[in-house]
Amino acid sequence: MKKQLLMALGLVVAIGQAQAREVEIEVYGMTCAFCVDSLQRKLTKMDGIKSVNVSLKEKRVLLQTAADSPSLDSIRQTVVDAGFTPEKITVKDQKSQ
Amino acid sequence: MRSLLARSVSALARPPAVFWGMLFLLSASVHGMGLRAFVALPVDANGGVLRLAYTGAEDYGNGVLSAGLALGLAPRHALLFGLPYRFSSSQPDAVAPVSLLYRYTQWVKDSPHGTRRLAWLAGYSVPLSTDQHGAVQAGLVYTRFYRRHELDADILYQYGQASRPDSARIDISWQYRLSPRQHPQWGLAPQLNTVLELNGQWIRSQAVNRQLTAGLQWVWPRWVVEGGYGFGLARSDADAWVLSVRYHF
Repeated sequence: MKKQLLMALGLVVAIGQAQAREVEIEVYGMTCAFCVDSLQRKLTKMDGIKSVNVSLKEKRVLLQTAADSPSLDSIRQTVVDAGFTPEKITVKDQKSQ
Repeated sequence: MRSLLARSVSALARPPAVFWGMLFLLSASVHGMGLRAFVALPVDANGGVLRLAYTGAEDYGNGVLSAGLALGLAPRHALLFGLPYRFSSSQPDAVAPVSLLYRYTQWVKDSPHGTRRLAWLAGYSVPLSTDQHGAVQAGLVYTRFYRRHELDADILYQYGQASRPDSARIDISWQYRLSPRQHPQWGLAPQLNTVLELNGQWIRSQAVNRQLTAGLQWVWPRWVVEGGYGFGLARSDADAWVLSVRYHF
């Protein structure tokens, strides 16, 4: 019984990991707290986004997303809509692969 | 400016248009990171900035309360609304013409440490009563941000209709981030900026004024509370102070 519970727990964790993706965006043009706030709010509203962390110091945004959404194109467009330049987008960790 | 203000307030026989025209030109812009200057930084699409500012001519108990709204339409397009309301110790309070401006950001050069942007301004100053006249507005605004420094420069010309004289304003604003010296690795910290501005106002064949304005801004996290004092460069009693609060949504 204990073994079965552990297996079930392992399966749940594995499924959770399979849906996780970490995306890093290098964003140019951010200057102040409002830039960070507006970008953070816009990205948070997107489907599939689990967490958003913005570094004004390093001009980087780190996203935890679902495995296949949102698309990198829609992430790029959201950054543009907020008024900034998405210089480089990198999928750092695709745990489903 | 000294005699101009004194005559405008104390001699009721003289039309006070110049006094108020100057004070309106002095009052805080609808959307700017400076105290009075416009800015070419982005307003995100479907987002906006609400601003309330009071500009007071200290000696005479007169002032202008400005309500402003900036709305982002698209990444490079924004609408700026401004509604000034005049408080007077010698005349009835009154609403001044509403300023409607469209801002188009023509040129953007973003970099890891900042940005450079140039935007056009165009719009109309809409009269709200029969004794007011409108004005067509056009101008330019440039913003350069680099590390802890921001420089904004703008010029706005108002082409008056009917008996309203042409007028113009020019502002150069430098903001320096005092704190934090460095942003945290992740997230935000409250920010304190110093502001130094050179403001010029002109009304055709009536008056010219120049001011040096110094102030402070406190930014956290979606609010800006700021204040400053403008010293008249042409005459010492052309001083005016400004207090403002902004909310970004």
